[in-house]
Amino acid sequence: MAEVYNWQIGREMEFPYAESRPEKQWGAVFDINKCIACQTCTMSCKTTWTHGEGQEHMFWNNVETKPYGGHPIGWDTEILDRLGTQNWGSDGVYEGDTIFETNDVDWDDMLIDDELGNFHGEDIEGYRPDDQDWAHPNIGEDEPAGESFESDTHIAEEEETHPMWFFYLPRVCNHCSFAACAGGCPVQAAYKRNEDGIVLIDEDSCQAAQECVRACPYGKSVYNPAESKSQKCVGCYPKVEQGMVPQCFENCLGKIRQHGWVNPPEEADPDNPIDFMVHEAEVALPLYPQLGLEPNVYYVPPINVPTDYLFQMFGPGVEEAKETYKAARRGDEEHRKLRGLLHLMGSTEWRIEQFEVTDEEAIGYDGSGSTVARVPMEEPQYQREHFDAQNNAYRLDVT
Amino acid sequence: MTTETHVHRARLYKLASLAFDRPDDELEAALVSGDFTTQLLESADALADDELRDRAQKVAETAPTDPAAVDERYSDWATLFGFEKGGEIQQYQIEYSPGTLVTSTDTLADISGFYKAFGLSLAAENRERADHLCLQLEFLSHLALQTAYLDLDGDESGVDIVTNAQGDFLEDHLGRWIPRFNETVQDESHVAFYRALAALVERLVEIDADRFDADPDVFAETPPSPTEQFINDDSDGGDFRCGTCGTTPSPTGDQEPAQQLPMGDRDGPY
Ligand code: SF4
Ligand code: SF4
Ligand code: SF4
Repeated sequence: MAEVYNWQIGREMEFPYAESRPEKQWGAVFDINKCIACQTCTMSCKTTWTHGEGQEHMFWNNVETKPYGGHPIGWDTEILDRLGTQNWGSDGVYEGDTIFETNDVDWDDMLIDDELGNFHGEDIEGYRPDDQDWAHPNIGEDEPAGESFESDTHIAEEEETHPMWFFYLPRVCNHCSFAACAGGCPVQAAYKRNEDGIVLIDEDSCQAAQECVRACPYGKSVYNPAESKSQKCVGCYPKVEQGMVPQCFENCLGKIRQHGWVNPPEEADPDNPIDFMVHEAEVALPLYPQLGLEPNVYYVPPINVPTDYLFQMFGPGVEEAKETYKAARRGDEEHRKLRGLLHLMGSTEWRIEQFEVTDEEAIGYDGSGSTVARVPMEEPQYQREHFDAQNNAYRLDVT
Repeated sequence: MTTETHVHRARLYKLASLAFDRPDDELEAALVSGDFTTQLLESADALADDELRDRAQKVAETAPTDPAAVDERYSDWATLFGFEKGGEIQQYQIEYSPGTLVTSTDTLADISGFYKAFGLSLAAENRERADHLCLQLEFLSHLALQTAYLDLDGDESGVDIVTNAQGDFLEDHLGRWIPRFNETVQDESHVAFYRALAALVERLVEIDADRFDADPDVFAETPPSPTEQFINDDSDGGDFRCGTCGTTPSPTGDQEPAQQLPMGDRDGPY
């Protein structure tokens, strides 16, 4: 049996191929608490990569409102339904089945060749969204869930979560360590780059089987009917090769996004920003880790949202992650380094590979050790007079 | 192809551009004096294409000749194309292509690139978008005239450059949407003059595409709104598209049925 170790679910797992990790892995942390659904990321990807014919329905980056939004429609509930009820053990090990396991197939018997007719990955659980599912990228936007809310409802600071809630979930391809798109492709057109772990579809080899579309539970591999090819987020590899962050990261208005390399836990480097948030502070969590793909976009969960909803989405670490984030926000000394890093997020178009937090500031360094970002730990504040004598006008904003 | 051919082509494009634009004094003068029809017929005749000749004849027959009739054309124009009367026939290329304005900025850039490459820019008082019908027609008129000029000069490489540009422009832009534009005008307008004019431009573009070996891939008919099937007999106000996202469903069809995790590097899969 092809067994691989998936640290996100704390156990070995079956997968169509043997484990092979790239030299470096493209990774990301998104702080959901800061996303305002401005969709600047969506448009920056759209105008860069998917403005062609046959790509009208493609949003390699999309931002959906949870719990009711989703692009393609219902991608999350669809796959969870198919897996059925599954459980996490109290030790944080996932006891249920991943999408590679639920159909009880012995991947060793799998005949891997590049025969188009040999759908070797067809036992990966999944489905192909309908055309209509791609047609409503903004469905459910800003629709809240939870209990009703009076205009005078007061939410105390120590209140756990809000009675009525929603949050924005920005999504790109996760450049998964155990990519289902690559696992499912009958002709090995989807592959992982050894130098950066970016998952690409080779357009020359793609035979339009659309098995990657079916196998990716995140709905991030999309068919282009004009080209008769499947296409997906390319991780902005031309920028990444230059040491820069992808388009949707650089343009993020909310500065919610940090791009960098992510290591498996045993190789984690606490001065690498992604490793620090994922492995050290454990404040950033993978999206639906129970599906088994080891996705490499990590999310800081929204602190206003009930834990049960977040638990099914980000796994068992949610409660602690929320606490840690709140503590860093409050300014607890223990989480000073995290606070500095949160300030640093989104502050530069260069990839921060190392960072450090001093008494006054947080500093980011690129791969060669040059300083690429500096932000103060305390923003200097100035207060101005209410009355602007020079212009003979009152100021509305004095700080 | 003689030098004269290009002069006549230039004139036809120019006249079409003038006539499709918001009617103004220049057009009125040309129509009332009869110059418009005389020149149109003369040039169409010179291009020696029966279909083109017939269509030009139709335009001449339906063209207004007295100031009152020209005024009426102005209100027709506004009803069909003008924002002031909610005209719904679009004179912009991007409106006939898949996607929307924000996802088609590359198209605008490409068209502007063509203009710029030949040292052209919009007149200062003209705020029109680069993909407008009249600009595209005028651009071809300019190139056709330049062809004639270079031809007279015996500048062969110059002629090559401008003829290639005309072929490329027809293949990538004008030729892709004029057939759709003509269809729309035929379907949605009752004004004989504009119907005849659209038909003339269609033929002109068609024979020119042939002339320059261009093979434009005509845009598909505008796909229905994704919400159409959910909304019964609600012919106006049924389309929820905000106009910024490309929510057009893509057509399916022509889908063919299609140890380590496949790895690769910058050059592709191993
Ligand atoms: S640009 Fe940033 S803040 Fe805006 S929607 Fe995208 S992720 Fe959210
Ligand atoms: S998110 Fe989907 S498309 Fe992206 S690597 Fe993972 S399985 Fe493939
Ligand atoms: S990383 Fe690049 S290709 Fe991927 S969603 Fe972001 S902008 Fe698009």
